[in-house]
Parts: sequence; C-alpha cells; structure tokens
Amino acid sequence: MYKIVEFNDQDKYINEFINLSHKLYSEDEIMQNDIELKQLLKNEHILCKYFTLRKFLIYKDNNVISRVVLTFYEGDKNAYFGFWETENDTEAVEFMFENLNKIVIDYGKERIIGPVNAIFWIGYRLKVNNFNSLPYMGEPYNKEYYYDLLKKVGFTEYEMYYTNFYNKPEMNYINSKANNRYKLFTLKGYKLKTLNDFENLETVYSVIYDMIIELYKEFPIFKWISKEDFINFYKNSFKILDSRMQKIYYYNNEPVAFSLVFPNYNNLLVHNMEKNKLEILKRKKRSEEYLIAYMGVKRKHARIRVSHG
Amino acid sequence: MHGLGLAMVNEIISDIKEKNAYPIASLIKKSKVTSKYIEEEIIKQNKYVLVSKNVVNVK
Repeated sequence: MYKIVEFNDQDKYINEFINLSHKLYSEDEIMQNDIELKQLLKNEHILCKYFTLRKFLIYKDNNVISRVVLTFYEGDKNAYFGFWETENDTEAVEFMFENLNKIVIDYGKERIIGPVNAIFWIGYRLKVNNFNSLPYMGEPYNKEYYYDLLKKVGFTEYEMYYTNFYNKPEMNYINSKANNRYKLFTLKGYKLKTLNDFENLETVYSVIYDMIIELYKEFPIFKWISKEDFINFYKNSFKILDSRMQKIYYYNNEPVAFSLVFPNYNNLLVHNMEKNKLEILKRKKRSEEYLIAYMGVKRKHARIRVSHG
Repeated sequence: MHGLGLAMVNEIISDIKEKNAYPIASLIKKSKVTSKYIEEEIIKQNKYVLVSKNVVNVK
C-alpha cells in the first residue's frame, strides 16, 4: 500500500514534492517558497555546497501522501529531516521514518533531529499551537496534527522556542527600566547607527554577518556559511526593510550589538510577489505588526557596571 | 549591573510606537529581556519545537 521513492533531479518527482504543500495549505497559509525549494531539490541553491541532501516521496496507492528530505553534514553525528509535509496518516509516517532510520544508520549517524529545512539559515522548527491565525513572515508553519504524528513515531522534544505577541504600545508608554538602560549606555559612550547612516550596504552586511556568526554559533543546529554566501542569500531581504528600524550599536568604533525589525509581510514575499507588489510597498512604509526578528549583543558588552555618584 | 539588550528594546519600542503598530518578538528561547520586563504586555504566545529521536540498529 505504501511505497517510498528516493529521487534525484527528475522533474516529475520535484513537482510532486512541491505540489504536496499546495494541496495541504490554502493560498493565505502557504509559507513555501517554490523557487527556493526547486533550487535546493535540483542542487542549484547557493547553500547546497554545505550539506548532502537525500529526497523522498511516500506514495499510498500511487498518490503522494508524504514528503521529506534528509540532510547530512560531515562531522555531525546527527541527521536532519526537513521540508516534511504529510497527510494525517500515522502508518505513512511510521513507514517513512522506518525507512529513513535505515539510511541514517548507514551514514553512521546516531540521531535524527527536525524539522530542519536543509540548513539553519533556510528554516527550522515545528509550530505546535495557535493555528487559528495566519502565519507571520518567516514563521515555521505546518499542519496542526504534525506534532502528534511525530510523537507517535517516537520523537521527543529537543528544543523549545516562543514567539510573543504584545499589545500595541500607547504613544505615552515608556518602559522605565529599558529607558534608563538606554540613557546609561549612551552616557557610557555606546552609539547607535541605523542603516541610513551607512553609505555602503555591503559594510552593513559584513558587520551583521560577523556578529551573527559569533553570537549564534552556539545555537543548536547552527551551521557556518561564508560571508559571501550569507550576503548573496540575504541581500534581497534588506530591500524590504525600513532602514531606520535596523540598528547597529558601536562602542569605541567597534560594532557590539544589532537588532533587525521587519514589517510583517505574512506570506506575501514567498509567492505571487508581482500580484502582491502594492501591498508589499504599503507594508514597507507601515505595517500593522513588526517582527523583532534578530537581536544580538557581544558577550563582553551585554552587561556593564555603571558607577553611581 | 545593566543590560545592553534591554537598552535596545527601548529603541525598538520607540520605533514601533511611531508606527502605531503591534510588536512581535519572533522565535526566541526563554529570554530575560523579553519575558522578565515585558511579560505583562504579552497577548499571545506561539510555541515551536525541534524534535529528536535516536536511531536504532535493528538487526
């Protein structure tokens, strides 16, 4: 009844892989970037050089019912499953992971972790609650039954993450602790720059890359990529930001912290971008919601002692 | 002792106030900055996991 097919770059299987998401999700929900996914499946994506990708479809009575990739890294005792999508069929998922189990053992790996969509930089994590609202930009999004299916086949929690949604701050709202900290750090000599203060965006990419690599390298499943690949991968993202909201903090001319805040484009950037152009431009100017997407402070500067009196 | 992270939050809040918009702190681990100082303002919390399983060599 169930059949597993491993494929390489055959268009038939690539299309079936991509189309499964379109079958499972509505136009408003779907977070899949078809172009990027096709590049990955065809081994044409700029980040493909960093991993080995094996690609699988599960058929039930000749219909695609599940899909998944396995990613392997040299020197990493874990294998990663990702781009995992499935209909609600426990037997199919059991069948899938029994087969993947054998492949992972053949590679000499000890554990499977996921979902990781090939690499840290593209996406990872499984959403487990609050499925009654549309996904925000960059949110890991999946069917509500996925976590239960994974638990049934023996997966347990490895890491947990949160996204907090806050009340709209009133114009007279001041968080006095945060405000005092800002004043103290300014007195100490920390200076704030926004993207508008840089003549050359290449400088910004370089500064942010250096800090992200240093600050995020301890994160579970983090994988290093070169500065050139980082810039090529992310440079289009900066075009859709409000420059004034992107901050880099300096101390003695050394960049020591950064924050990147994005308008919430929901899924407007992952497909039908031409059709959504006007709405994208509107939200770039002003969005109902803003994502505090990345923040980092170099360890030495996270806390300072400020003398009083 | 004082936190640069919290100082940064001050500027972020200021920017978002100007836009008359709602802030979302996306995909964080448990954070002293966002949870300790702004917890009272959270209206919704989404959760996400990574899962794992040891592979078993069934002979």
